[in-house]
Amino acid sequence: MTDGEQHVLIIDDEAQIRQFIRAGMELGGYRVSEAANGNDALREITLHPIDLVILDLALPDIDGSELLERIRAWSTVPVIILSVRAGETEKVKLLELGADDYVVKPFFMSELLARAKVVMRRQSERKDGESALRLDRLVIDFAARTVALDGKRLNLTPKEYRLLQVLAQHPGKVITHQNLLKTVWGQAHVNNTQYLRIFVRKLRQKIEADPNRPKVLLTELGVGYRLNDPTARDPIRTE
Amino acid sequence: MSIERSALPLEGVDDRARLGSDVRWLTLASLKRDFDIGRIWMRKAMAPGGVIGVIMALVFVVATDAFLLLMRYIHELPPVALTFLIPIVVAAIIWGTLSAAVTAIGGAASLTFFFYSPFYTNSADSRSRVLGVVVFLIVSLVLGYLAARTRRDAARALKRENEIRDLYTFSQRISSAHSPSGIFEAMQQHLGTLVGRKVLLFDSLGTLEAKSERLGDEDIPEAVTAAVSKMQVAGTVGSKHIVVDDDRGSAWLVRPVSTNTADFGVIAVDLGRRSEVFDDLRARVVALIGDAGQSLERLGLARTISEARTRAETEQFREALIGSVSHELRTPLSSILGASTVLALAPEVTGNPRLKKLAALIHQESERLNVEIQNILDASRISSNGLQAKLEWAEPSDFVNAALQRCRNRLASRTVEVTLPEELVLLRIDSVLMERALGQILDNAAKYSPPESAIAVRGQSEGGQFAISVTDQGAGLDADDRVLLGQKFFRGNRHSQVTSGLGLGFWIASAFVAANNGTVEATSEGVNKGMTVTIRLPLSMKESHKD
Repeated sequence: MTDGEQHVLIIDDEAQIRQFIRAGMELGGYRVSEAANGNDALREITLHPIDLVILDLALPDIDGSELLERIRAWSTVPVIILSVRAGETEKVKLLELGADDYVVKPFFMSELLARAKVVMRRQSERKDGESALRLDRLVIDFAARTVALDGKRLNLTPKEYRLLQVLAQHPGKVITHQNLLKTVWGQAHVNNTQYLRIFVRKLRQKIEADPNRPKVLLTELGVGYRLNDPTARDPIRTE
Repeated sequence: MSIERSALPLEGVDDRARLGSDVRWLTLASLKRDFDIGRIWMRKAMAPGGVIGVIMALVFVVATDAFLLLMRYIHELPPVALTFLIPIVVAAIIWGTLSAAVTAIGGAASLTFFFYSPFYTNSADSRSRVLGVVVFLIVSLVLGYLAARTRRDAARALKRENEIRDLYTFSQRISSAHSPSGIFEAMQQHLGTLVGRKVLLFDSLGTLEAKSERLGDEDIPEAVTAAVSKMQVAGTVGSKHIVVDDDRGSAWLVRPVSTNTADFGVIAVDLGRRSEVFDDLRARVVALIGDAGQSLERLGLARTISEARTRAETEQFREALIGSVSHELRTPLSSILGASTVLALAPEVTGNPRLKKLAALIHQESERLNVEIQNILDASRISSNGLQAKLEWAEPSDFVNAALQRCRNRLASRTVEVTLPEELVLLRIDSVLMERALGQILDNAAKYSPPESAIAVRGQSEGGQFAISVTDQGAGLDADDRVLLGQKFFRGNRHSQVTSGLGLGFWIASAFVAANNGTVEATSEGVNKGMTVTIRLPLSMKESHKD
């Protein structure tokens, strides 16, 4: 796929921020539109085909999380949140509302570009409906429900496979603890983080070279986990 | 000893005499500071109607007789009745009415016995002489009474003046006092002057808080302690004063400083022996304590209000400051940092080594600024107790990796050796805070050790704890550092010129670890021998493996 045709919308009330993100995105080969407030942003999204939304939470007219909800009501466009508030509770809330990723200000342009690339690739892969996910040495075959490392099939328990599958459905995206617990163990266990820790550890022992220094199944402190492709040229920096 | 409620009956003592005697008592009290049995006796004897007054009256009579007889022998008898008026007036002024009356009667007797013929007999032989003696007696009694009254009035005026001056000073001190101790001091001093005796102040728990100097090393009378504790038990609020007698015969007034609150404690004043002046004195002491108590209440209320207001304002200011720091400083910083990273990507810059270096410089410095802003925000959160750890089961390797990732730029030139246990360890921690704490420690290790040196990070279970240690090969600690490390804004003297930073790092790390129920310890073999910082977190194996 070519990035040149992809259209990024930057929603931020600070002109300086929009300015450097635009410069960075254009350097990355994207087409860029800007919106300084929520209403302009909504109009922009409805009028033009947008491939990625970069949304600052502090907007003069509509609260950022409300705008996210409104967009999610009818669109699956990838959304990356920009925020100066770095609270984990807030990140969890935004991910639950449907944000694809978040970046805490101040941030590096390279980081934003890497995340933009990941969420847009995920979006296009979702459209393609691939039946397998390859992450370096790891291959997850959704159709056959098998996982292989270096071509060797791994013996995963049903819970381990389910956990990996939920993460692999959205590679690169942070899946919150609550979301994983709810999907894999059920609503009743939504607060039993220790289940998750134990199974993540077991999974890492099977899929990682060094479970103490994971490269694929990454921890997002206080928020959740994400699957990372270690071969990607711009590895995602956890903030 | 008896404890009785405040009604002490007045037993037919003439009001004026009572006030007059009060003056005498107080004047002498202020002259004679010592307090022993002899002086008490002296005071009583010197008081109007006392033995001394009567004896002195008789001495006067004898002296006047001697003088008159002498005069008659040398020259010629002066007017006898008139001469006798002199000692009468003197006795009236010094010892009062009784003494004057005795002198007058003695004078009348002398008149009859010595100076009206027939000499040395007591038989008046003519009516006119009897009349003369009677007239003399009436005149001298009236004169004596008038003289004594004049002196009393003058003394009373003086005493009132002193009282008013004292009260004025007292009210001035009370109104200018800005602390309870100032009011207590004023009250104690005033009571000390007024009563000339001892004052004791007990706090709201019944322990002695202050006592007047006059008490010296004397023990506090048991009766007083008993009354105070009784008052504590009953609850001082609303209770009135009580009067108790100690074993020396002194009466003590015991009263809560304020009748509305127990907070100001109980005051005990020694009123002295129960004399006829007792009720008046007691009434004035009670009124005075009442005034002081009201002032204290006003002050207490005012202070509570102003403290609450100050707290609220401080909190508001802190919130505003944190808000504006995070917004007003971080927004432009975000643009600078972001723009510098865009520059670093631009082909025009990447192709030009000089520009590339400059872009990297802007990038590095703005990142450093960002770290310091974050440290200040963290420090203010810690100082205002705004730190809330969200404890969850978590793997130590997660926050160790995150901290290493965060510090990867600083640690770029080092070999970082990480050793973590093979088995699963679960700790009940706030991973985000732990990552920040370890980040600060790694940052310090990088800052104070040579650029190419190695840093070792080790995690292992030790007894009931999980210990994570960071060992560098850097500057180490000297004796001063050991003492001061961990204080806010501390930076070793050796480093302040060489490295940047505010000196908040270790302090923040310690606070963050403490919020996770852990401890931080720094050890060093000495200067330039490197140091090891060890974080210890509680380990609870039983629960951590619950499946």
